[in-house]
Amino acid sequence: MNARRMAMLGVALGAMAWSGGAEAQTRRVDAPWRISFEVGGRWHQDRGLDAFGTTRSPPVTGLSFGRDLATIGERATLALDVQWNAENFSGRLRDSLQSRLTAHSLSAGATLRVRTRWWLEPYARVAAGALYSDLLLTPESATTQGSSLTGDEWTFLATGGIGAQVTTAPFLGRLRLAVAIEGGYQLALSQGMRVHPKALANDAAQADRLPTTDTSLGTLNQSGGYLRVLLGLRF
Amino acid sequence: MNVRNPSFNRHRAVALAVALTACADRDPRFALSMATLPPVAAGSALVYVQPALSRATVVDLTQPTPAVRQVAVGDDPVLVRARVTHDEALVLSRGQRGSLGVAPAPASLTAITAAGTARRWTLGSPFNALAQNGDGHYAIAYFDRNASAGRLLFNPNEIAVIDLDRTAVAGNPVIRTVRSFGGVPNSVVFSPTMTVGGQPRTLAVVLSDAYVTLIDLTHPERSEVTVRLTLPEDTRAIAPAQVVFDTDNATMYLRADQSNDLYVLRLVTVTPESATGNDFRPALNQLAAGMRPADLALFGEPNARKLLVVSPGSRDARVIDTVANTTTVVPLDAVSNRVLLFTGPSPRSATPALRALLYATAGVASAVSFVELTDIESRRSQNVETLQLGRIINQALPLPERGVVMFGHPTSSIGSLSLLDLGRRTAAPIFSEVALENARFDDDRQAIWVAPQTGERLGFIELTNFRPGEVRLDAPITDVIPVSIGTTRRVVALHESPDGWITVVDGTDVTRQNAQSLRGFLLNGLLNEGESQ
Repeated sequence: MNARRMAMLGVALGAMAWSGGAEAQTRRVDAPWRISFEVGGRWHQDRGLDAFGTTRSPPVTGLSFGRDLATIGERATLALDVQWNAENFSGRLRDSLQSRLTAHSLSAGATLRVRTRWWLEPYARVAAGALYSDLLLTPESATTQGSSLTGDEWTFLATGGIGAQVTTAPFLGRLRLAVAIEGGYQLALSQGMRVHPKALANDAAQADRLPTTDTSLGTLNQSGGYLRVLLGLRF
Repeated sequence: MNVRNPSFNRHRAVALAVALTACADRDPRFALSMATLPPVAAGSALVYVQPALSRATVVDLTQPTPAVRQVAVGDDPVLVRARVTHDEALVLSRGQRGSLGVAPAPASLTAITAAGTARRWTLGSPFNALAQNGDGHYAIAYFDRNASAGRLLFNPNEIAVIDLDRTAVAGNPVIRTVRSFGGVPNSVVFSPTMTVGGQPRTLAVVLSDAYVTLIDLTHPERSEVTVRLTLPEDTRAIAPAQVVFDTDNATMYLRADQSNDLYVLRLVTVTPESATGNDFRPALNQLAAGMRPADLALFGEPNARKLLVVSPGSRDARVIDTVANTTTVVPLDAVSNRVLLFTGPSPRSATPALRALLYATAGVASAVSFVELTDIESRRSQNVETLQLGRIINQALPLPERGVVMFGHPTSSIGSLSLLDLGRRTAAPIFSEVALENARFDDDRQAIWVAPQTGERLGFIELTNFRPGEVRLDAPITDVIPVSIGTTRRVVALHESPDGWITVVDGTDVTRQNAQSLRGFLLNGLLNEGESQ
């Protein structure tokens, strides 16, 4: 099965390399839908993220779904997409706590692609959405095991970036493989992170707990440059 | 003409690539230990000190929702103490020795208020012990021989005298080396305000193995006075352990753990020899006090002062007339090593009078002795009444203002605590699962609070009516710290958690409904710590 897929990918890439006339080179790809899996990284500047591990740039993985909306002139295409991605920070905090932060980004964006070849489309993309951060701090000592602190917060984010998308020739009917690489900047508003004890699994025990005052850990800003590679299907 | 430099562009490209791919080094503060020194109460606040972070976290309990503040303290803090009679905490820091990339920093003392404000005095040397006088006006930092100094070289006889009511200025603190006869300071005690030479003053008494050093804190620029308690050829370490001050007669009485004598230092006024000379000198006298006197108390009118001394080695008490220099031996049925003077009635007389309770801790006796001090020298053992408790006494918590003493006993079927009524001379058992050394009083001694090391129940005894009670909390309690906030009382139960976990209990209405927890306060502002660097 994998060999078959690789063969199809080879055929598609061969077709991309085929050079025809100028008109053929710029003809529109009739595949308005796109679904992509993405991997990449963000280069955060906020030192507060050091509380959650030794790197501020963990891998980011996500999914996006888009549709071409309109054509502008002969070569430009405007597309809309929705995107979700997540990055996970985890590490050891001050020799006594296991720390973890998961940041989920959910955004809607607009992409303006310009065909330079039928298979190559540099593009610019802007997006806006929400960033949800969820943290967990778990003491390592035996006596406080299971008595974790948790907290979460939403904030607004906006991104802007440029990239290039390569699309293969069709296979299996209208399916095309699309690969894109995009770099840009994510601007996120700061999040005030507060923590409280994690709720107990037993409802009765949780209801019996004494009221607990939250603690403010301070603010976290997840703005930073990003680079992402998308591998998807257009149809 | 625009000439591009290919090499320059290449370097920029490389720099951009590095910037995109390189990870910044982790802020090292996030790898430092969260360990804290045992917290103390500073007025309405609880103060935790985290040595690795050189930081104090102040939990202000004034408001229903506690406010958490962080205060920088000197590098390498080694102890934190509540300032006596003040709503402040004192943090003694040893400073920084210096290492690669870290500049040396001097030792310091930081006073922190509940509001999170701080004052700091630079001490210079890395002292590791601190003593305060009775009103918290003065502190002396010194070297505890049992604690590490953390330096290649240090002078164990160096001390720093700090006037805590004054800011750090020239002359405060006063750093000096006390005269030594080969020993080092063991501890420091302070006198109440004494009138010497017609002038009120506070003295610090530095106790060493075989001598004491007197420092006039009212005139710290003056030289100290060192008094040898043994002959020069005598190499014994007699270990002075207790000082009782007679403020009316400018006299102090010293007891030493390894001596059968009491030492009397009478401060005699003299004319100073120089600007830094003292206007007093001590006159030393010795009084025989039985075998290994263990405790003493001063009583009587200023012109007829007497000492009551208990000597467990000879199973007697001695009344020493300090004016006539005579000693009356009072045989006891029960060994005693503690003296408690109290004013109250007795079963035979409802008239309050000064009386004494003699008892022994550390498991050496199961009976106590009441002593009528009136006419004790003539009536001797006729003034002694022995009360059998039936159980060995391990610890004692005297509450003379409430007319009781609480004793701790080995756990038995009839309870491990008992309340001794000083007026009625009766003892009532109280069942307890905890030892008295873990008990804590309120500031106003309205209640006593206890918590077992492994349990999650906080126990208390109302000292107005001796009614016991308990409240269940959410986690095992490691310690209890009563905190006074104006007229309200709150009790803070500490729980083990590296991020900080306390439960605040209303001390006037002790119910679970009136308890509230605070978690994670040692992580307060964690995410923005790097910004302050």
